[in-house]
Amino acid sequence: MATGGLVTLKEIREMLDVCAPGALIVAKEHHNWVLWNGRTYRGLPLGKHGKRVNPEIEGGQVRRMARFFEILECAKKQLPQI
Amino acid sequence: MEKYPILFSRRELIEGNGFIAGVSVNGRALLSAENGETWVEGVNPGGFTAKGSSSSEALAAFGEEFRLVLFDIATEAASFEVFKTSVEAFFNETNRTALREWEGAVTEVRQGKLAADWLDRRPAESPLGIEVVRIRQPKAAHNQEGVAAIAA
Repeated sequence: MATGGLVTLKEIREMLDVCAPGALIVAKEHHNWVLWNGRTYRGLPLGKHGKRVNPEIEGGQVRRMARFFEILECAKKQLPQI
Repeated sequence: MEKYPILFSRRELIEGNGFIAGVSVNGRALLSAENGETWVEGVNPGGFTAKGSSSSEALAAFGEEFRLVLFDIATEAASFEVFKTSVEAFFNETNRTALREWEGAVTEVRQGKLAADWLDRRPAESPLGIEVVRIRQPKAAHNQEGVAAIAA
């Protein structure tokens, strides 16, 4: 697990597998889009160094994505650092 | 943690695949401060967030993030019509969690429990919406400064 409130994209995928089964993360030019339950979160950062295989993303950003999908309580159990 | 209900207006000029579009938005967002950072979450449009070390910095970053989301939508869209439909869908994806807090914050502003002297006030019931138009004849008169206000 990443430290300092950072979460890797792999950890986000694992959280979504539990809290938002079927969610997809799609990398776009400027952001990752997260698609689930007919809704799209278009603002998940690509990570501090742009497109990488498993970038680290700030926990606060992940928390706000979880709020958008109304899965925050579940997400916090999977990723306590958010 | 204090949360502020924000109304914002912006106009962006976006180049797409074979078109230039003007996007005018009257939206709402939730500004909150925590651990020395200020966060702004979109309510309408929902689905994106920005942060800064101050309220003004976070609001400026929010405007930039909005523009980058439009860039991503433009990259995906094969035509102006597809772009317009996608931008409207983006606007209408309400962040319901943030909306509940936004409405609670409006009540606090009206009760005088929450103030933001650094922002103008606008009625919370101000019209919301997004307009996407194809630009065929660019005019300087179309240019519009972005503004943010506290909803009251």
